[in-house]
Amino acid sequence: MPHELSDMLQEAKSDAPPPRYSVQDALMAGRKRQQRRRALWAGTGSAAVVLAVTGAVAVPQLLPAGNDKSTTVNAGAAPSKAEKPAKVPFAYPSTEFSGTFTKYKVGDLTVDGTVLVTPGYQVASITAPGKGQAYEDENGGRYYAPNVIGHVVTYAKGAFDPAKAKKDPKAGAGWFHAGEKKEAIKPGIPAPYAESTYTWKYADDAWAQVIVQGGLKYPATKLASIAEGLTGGAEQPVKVGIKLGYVPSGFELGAAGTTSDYLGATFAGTSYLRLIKGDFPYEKLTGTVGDPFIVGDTQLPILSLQVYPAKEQKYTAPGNAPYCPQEGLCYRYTADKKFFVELNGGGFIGNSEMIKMLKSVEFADPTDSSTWFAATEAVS
Amino acid sequence: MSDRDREFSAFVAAQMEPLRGLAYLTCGDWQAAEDAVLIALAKLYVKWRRIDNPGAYARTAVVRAAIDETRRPWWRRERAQSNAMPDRPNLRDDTNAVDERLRIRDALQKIPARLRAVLTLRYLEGLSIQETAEALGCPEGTVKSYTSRGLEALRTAMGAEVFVNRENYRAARAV
Repeated sequence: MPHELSDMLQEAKSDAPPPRYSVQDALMAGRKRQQRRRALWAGTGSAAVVLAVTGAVAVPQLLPAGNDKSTTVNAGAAPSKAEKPAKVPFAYPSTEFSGTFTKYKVGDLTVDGTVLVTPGYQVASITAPGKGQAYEDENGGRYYAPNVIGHVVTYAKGAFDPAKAKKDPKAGAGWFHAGEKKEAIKPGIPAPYAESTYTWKYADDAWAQVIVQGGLKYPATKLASIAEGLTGGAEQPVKVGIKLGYVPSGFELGAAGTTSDYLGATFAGTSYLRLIKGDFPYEKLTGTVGDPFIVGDTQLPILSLQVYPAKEQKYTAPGNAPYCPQEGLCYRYTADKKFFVELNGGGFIGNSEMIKMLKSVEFADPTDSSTWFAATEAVS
Repeated sequence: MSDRDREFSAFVAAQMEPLRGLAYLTCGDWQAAEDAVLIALAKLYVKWRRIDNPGAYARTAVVRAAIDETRRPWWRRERAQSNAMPDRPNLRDDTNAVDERLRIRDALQKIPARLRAVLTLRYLEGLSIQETAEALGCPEGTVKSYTSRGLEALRTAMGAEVFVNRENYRAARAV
């Protein structure tokens, strides 16, 4: 009879049943998760420069400000000037679930339009030339995500806590936090850099950030030039490729865009809706929030719906009717089966309720954004 | 298959089983444990190239995911149902080892998941207080407190002596 605790613990797990998941299942789960995140790597087989963007999830307490290896320095007095015409002052949207980003270029980088809007901030992606993460489809064919290297985030008034950004304030328009260089995982692959941020105040009590991360080191001046290029655009409602005819009681729109809260690079036709029951406190933020439903020790009920191209589907589809290959995860394909919507119930509603939601889905044409629905109308 | 996929697959092949055990001891349910491991490994895959110590990362992620599993609505719902089937027949037999295993398992299930996680990390994985605190994202004082409370709860549940290390065991047996 074991009396040492370590022996007891070993004993307690000594009759494990046969595993349900294989190495291949873990690999597939990782690939699936990767597709949803901002973790992007260029194809490693190429001699081209490897450029990576990682870690979209910026839970406030996990921001790198406390890392001794990182440095916080003045952004520099002379950021390179972005090529820009007469600049329209940037303004935060006056209505919820609208975006005010407009597309602009800074050198070879492009700041695209709004990709995600929450009640606390709106996000635009920064794309570099070249290919992003490589993926393999079911037939072994390779396809690539856009080469998103970071994001521009503008926070709603009062939502951002500039304390960390202002910890070492010096002259200049903003504050730069350089991400440290990580250890190379293996020979031949350049070591990536942790998240670098440029933070500035764009209006009274309203802040914005340029956030990049990956295989290339971006200097403060580069990030400052992206910030400087931010131009106001006409306020546009965020649109998505589906409309819900049925929403379970108590759930309301919590986020919408073409990417999820994890800010993964997405493919054409992708859109996202997050429904939440309760209010997430968008306050004292120091970055975007990958899990904007965890409040202290509690989790607000959420439902997420995301439209994907069919090549991203793991499960075989029996037809166009909604189906649930597992508890809490249900799908429905478009009529031409080129896209599908994934509904993640998170255990907060049952599969029958999820099926009811999916049956009520009206698809726009994922390939034609002019047919998409305003997010506020998509969740009624 | 890419180099990363090969490296990741080799890691999973070597670590899947110990991680499964770690998750099981934390959440007390093999099915939930395996789900927790899969979630943690999916996270690890995404961060594979940025992590210096995949083993430590996976361990942390697994324990956190396993604790989360016990918080899920379905967990509470299923646990509340009297007709939920246990993982294993809850029968005693004449084999001392099996009997003892069930007794230990029953005792572990009587203490909260977070306390179980602390005990598992410290006494199964052999982590220090500091490492355990980092893994669980809590202060070291909390780990000390949880360790004390967890051991006390386990002693009570076991109705027997529980020793935290070999020295302790030897000292107690010394005459």
